[in-house]
Amino acid sequence: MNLPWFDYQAPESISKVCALLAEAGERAAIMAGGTDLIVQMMQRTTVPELVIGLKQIPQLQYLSYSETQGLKIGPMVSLQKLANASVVKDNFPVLAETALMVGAVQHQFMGTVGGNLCLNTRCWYYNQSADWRRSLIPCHKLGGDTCHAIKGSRSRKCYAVYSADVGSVLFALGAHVVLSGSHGEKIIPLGEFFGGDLIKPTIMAKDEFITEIIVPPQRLSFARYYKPSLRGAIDFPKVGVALVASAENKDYRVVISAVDRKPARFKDLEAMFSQSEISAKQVAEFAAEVTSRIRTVANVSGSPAYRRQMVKILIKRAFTEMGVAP
Amino acid sequence: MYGFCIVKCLNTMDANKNMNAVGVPTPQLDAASKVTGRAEYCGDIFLRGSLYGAVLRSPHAHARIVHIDTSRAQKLKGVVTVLTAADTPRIKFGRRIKDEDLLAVDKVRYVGEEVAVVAATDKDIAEEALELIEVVYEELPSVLSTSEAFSPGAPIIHDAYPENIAEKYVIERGDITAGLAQSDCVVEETFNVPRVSPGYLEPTTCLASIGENDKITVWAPSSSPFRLRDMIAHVLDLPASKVRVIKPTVGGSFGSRHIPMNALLAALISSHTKRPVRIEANRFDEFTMSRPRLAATIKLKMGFAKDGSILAKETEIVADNGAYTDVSCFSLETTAQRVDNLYRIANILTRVRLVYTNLVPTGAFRGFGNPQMHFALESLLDMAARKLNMDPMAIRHKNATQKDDITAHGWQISSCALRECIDKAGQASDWDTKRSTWPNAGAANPGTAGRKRKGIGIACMIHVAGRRTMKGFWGSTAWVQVLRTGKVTVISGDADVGQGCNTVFVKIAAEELGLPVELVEIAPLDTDNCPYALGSYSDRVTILGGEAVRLAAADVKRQLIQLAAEYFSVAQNRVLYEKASLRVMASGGEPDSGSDQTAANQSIHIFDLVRHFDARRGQQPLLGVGTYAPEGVVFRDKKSRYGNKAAAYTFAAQVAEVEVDMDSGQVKLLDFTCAHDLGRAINPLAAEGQVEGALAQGIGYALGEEVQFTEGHIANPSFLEYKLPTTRETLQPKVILVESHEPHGPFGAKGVAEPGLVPTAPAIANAIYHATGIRITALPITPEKVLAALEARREEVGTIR
Repeated sequence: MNLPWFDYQAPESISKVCALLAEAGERAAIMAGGTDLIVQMMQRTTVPELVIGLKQIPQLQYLSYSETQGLKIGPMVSLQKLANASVVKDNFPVLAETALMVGAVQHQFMGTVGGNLCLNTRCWYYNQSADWRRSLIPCHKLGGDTCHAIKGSRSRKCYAVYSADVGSVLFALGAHVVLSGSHGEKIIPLGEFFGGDLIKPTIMAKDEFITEIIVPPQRLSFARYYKPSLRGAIDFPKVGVALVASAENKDYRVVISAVDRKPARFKDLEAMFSQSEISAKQVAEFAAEVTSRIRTVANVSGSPAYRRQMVKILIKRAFTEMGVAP
Repeated sequence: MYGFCIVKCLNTMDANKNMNAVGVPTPQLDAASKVTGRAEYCGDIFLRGSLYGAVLRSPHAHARIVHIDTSRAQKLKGVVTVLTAADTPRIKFGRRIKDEDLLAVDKVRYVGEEVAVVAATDKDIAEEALELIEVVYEELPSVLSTSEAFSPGAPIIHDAYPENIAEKYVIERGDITAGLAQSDCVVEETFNVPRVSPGYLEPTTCLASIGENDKITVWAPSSSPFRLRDMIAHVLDLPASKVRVIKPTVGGSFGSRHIPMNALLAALISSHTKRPVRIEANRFDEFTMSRPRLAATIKLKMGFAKDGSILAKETEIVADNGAYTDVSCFSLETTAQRVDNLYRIANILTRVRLVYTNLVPTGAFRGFGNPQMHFALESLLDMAARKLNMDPMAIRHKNATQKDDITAHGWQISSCALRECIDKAGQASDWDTKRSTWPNAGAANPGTAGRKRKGIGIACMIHVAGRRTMKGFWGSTAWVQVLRTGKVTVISGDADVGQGCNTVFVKIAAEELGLPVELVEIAPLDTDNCPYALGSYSDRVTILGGEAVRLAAADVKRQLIQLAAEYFSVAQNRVLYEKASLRVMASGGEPDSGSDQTAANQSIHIFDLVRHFDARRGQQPLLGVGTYAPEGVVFRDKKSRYGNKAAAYTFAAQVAEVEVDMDSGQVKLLDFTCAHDLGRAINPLAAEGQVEGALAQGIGYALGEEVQFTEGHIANPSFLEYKLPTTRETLQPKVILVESHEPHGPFGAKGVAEPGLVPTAPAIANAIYHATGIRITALPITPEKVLAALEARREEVGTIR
């Protein structure tokens, strides 16, 4: 498998990137660490004419924390840096722990926080080489009108799932992103960022890109991400469960990854936990309700039934580890 | 760093006495060059003016080829040729059943089958040209499982086999009905094992070029270069003298690269274009091209006396051949017979069927049919032990084959330390303590015992070392040359594919000649310059190749003694070969007619002796020839399937310790103890490495690897989705090398290349059973299966299965 031919530019400023994007639009792709983009290019699921590399822009590489502003992460911060930075380990250790779960050590050195956040949704029928996909008609994600993960009827839905570990945790932490483009800058909460559709899960336009990720300051009594996967490295999550408990508001945020095109959160169900005391019974009810709302299909590693079951089990495990008596 | 290697010796009479090389842990000769990137693999070789070859593969599992139009591809600038079956002699090939074509002729029978090849001036043009080849297919209904193959009206894959059964036969010994009738306890179960991929790291790049008089040279990562040469000659309808195969460094073969398809295609392209060509393979190609392990459904029933003696074994095996046979018929023979000889079993009935399907053809992968049946039998043995209330180690110890046994299939066990392996594995793993203190199966409701449970399990194995695979000469030949430059060269055709036989040969020659290992080299493997060899498979290379090297070195010694006698003008019987020198012994009290007593105790180093005669007589090669195939080993009798089939047999016991997460079904390996009877460890460091490496593959087989299909397509053709274990899933086992001193092997050695993964899956399955009380009978044992079984059991609380 070769890479297709492409032009490559690595501008030195954010404004230069914006200018390139404004001009090239759909024909360009942003490259952060490249650990996903390069593979997609080799498999011909993405074939940009112009690849815009961000590694020459120092403003995208910073990592800072303040009590008032929270944790500010440049999108080009590597996962390895995130895992080892004391500002992260001291203030949001869940991010450091989760960064170490992504891929293998090599991915953590090359992969970035921004890249992980923007990870394209995944499916066994999509993430295959061009040769493999040759005998299948294009699915929704490739511009067609079917879904191969659903046998039988011609499904109108795309079931590719959001499989980013750090991205899911950022969502659970209530993070915001700064999108820069020729329009200037805008700050968007991740909930809105993931408000796209099945084929294009984020609302990011083709002429904008992430220039900052902000995790608001918050005191957490518990924050952990659970990633069941067959192997201890390389694998994407079969499902992911994040539990973040705020010390002040006594609110509990549960985010499930790899079950939907975006990290899934069920705020209405979270309202169950509005009292200060949580019982095991409530947790079990919550877990059962969440599980009943998600639909897993056979398009990633792990059987659909097992993945749903693990959501239930891990929600309970998370609350137990937080302190709810089982 | 390598873990601690414990070497235990039996009968240490002559063992290790004054051994300079044998038994000394030595890094592989090419270890440094491999880890520094200096080793030269096929992919590192570039031929001037080389074309790039690309392969067009079938997108259908079963289809008729209506028409192939290559004209548009041919017109693409930079394309030199596009070849289809019409451009080949269309000679069918295969190891026993010749059912395969180089390029598909009128039908394609699996997704990925080679349909056409392109040769172009660069890789991008070659790949683009593939898109321009128009193939009109008429899709046919396909057979995607062995059970579909049997259903009435099933599509016929090969016309010559209208029932889709490539082979079927029955093996009977003793009286199965009586055996079962006499049994106090009968246990029965069905096991399923999938295809798993060999996963060698070096992708299969092959090169070919054409030289003087149209002689083709092929560079290939082959484990049987001579057989590859003969196969190239066969499919291209050429005399073997017109083909030469060179094997550079190989990055693993695991049985799957005897005849790499890319080598045949490269030779085809070169012979057409008269230009050099290079064909590469990416991992997606490898999953299709390299033949995975034979998949099978195994029904097993065994009868036991109440003291645990095995009285009967009845088996039915339905094996998935895939679209073409390749060596699956031989793997299946192993599945059908080998494990029967691990224990003393008199009454045996085995029925086998090898069934065609429209899936990737299965073939040889380290273990060669043995891991499949061991998974079944070693799991069932544990089930029986439970029913009989016997310790699983004790039941194996009781039934174990022993030295000098002649088994029910006529195997003559010339060396065997199986009981010692069992005992040592038990001691080293602290079996007794863990067996009684760790959670036991079936007693309590597994749901209440806490989230994680530990278990310990054992499995044993028998394997061959040097199976007789030819009716004619089946052994090895080696040449050893002493050079005036002060070096010794070993010339062998048996291929080092990473297992380290080159190092073993060097050590054997060094030992025999009394030289330091640094002064012995191995010649590059080139079929034009080396003696004919069958290749690396069936654990034959140490025992047969190694003994041939030793005999060749011994031949060198004889010649040196003759030369020394001439040099010192003494009778040959006064010359002693000692530590790479030749010394004249004192003749004692007898009058010595005609000899010079002053020669007594004079000595000359072998290199000085060689130089002396070279200078006076011209460089006559001091060449020792060794040929070896032990007596008393028969070629398979197709009717009776009885007889002593191999030079020797190896044994092992492995103990697995696991921890099962009862909520997620995830299995974690805590420890592994591997006790292997390998006859003699010529290179203990390499032997340990072989066990560790094989164990990693066994762990993958047990816990995660599976070639998965979706409508005939391999769904997971990459190491992202095909769960090859990472360093986080494997571990450093305790390795115990048990030396039983095989009389047929060099310095008592047999082999240890394959055994490391044969008992691994059942050892793990048995440990899981101990921990949780659940028995998974289909590999791989994934968390999904464990959790489903635990859930099913929770619903049966109170009932004992």
